[in-house]
Amino acid sequence: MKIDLSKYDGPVFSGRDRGELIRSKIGLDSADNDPQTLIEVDVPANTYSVTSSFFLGLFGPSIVRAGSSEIFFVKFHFNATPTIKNRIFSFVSRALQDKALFN
Amino acid sequence: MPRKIPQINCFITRGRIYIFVFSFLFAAPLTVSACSSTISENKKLEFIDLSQANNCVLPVNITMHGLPTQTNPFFVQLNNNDNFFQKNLVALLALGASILSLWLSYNLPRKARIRSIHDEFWLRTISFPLVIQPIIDFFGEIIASLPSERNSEVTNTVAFLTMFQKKFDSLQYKLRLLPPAVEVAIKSTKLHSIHAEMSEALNMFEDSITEYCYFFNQEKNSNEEISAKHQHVLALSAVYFAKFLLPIKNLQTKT
Repeated sequence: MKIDLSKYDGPVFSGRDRGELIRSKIGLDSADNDPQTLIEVDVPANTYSVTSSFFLGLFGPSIVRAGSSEIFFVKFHFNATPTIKNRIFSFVSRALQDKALFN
Repeated sequence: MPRKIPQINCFITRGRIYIFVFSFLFAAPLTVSACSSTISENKKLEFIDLSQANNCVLPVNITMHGLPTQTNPFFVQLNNNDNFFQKNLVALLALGASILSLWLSYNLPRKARIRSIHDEFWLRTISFPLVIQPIIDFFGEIIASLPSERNSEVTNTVAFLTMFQKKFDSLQYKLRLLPPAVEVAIKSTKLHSIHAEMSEALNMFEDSITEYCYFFNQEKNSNEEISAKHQHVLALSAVYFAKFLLPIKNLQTKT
């Protein structure tokens, strides 16, 4: 499965609502339920920024379901610039800490 | 040793309450049972025909009705006003008031002390300076330094956004310390939602600043358009700032 963010309004990816909308459009919940499905995420090179609310709206439930960053990054492979990749690592870590603290 | 004084006081106060409760539970029923036998006896002898009662032993509380004659024997009526609750209404009210005042004198300072620990220590000494104040400063710093037009010094916002994101990520981690710190003082099941609301307000602030920075960098946008957008972002930031503080305000008014 492939998620190409260039198909959606860029180059600023912001807003939890937008992230959640894309998640439901591509049926990420059902992809999460199938452990065999690996997901390739393409973040366009001209992306200005991906905000935490957008990212967590799109991938938050998948991160929580994975339970660890290792499992999440095995299932989801991100093609992005190093700056955006660093932010993605930070978002994943934050989502997992929230899960550990509050659930 | 001075620390033991409040415990002793507390013990004495509790002791007083136990004595009160003990006396009310055990002494009062004894009195009631003693009186109720008298009342029931009196009720049986409410009217007595003295002409038929040569060997009758009269109770003490009697009222005479008219003078006796040979043809018209008089009656005596027992004063049947020995109702326990009527007789002791004032005493019962006083007892109730005493118990209430003891309860208040024990409970109110306890509540005030818990509130003071929560407010003074966990919120003002721990949570506020370590978690909330840095985020308030962050809002202020970003709003103050957000470039409002392109000039010779500022041509784009790349450096500004990098600085913003670095501080933003660090403060989001810091914000996560708030629920555990507050949870020590108050056991609230809503702490998760408090954190989620505050974190979401910060996220919305990030969204608006990021979008503005991109808008700023677009060469097609003039300085007038940038300035108008800047005003809009400042107004939004004020809304997100209020949204950020609202859960703390609600938490303090509810506890």
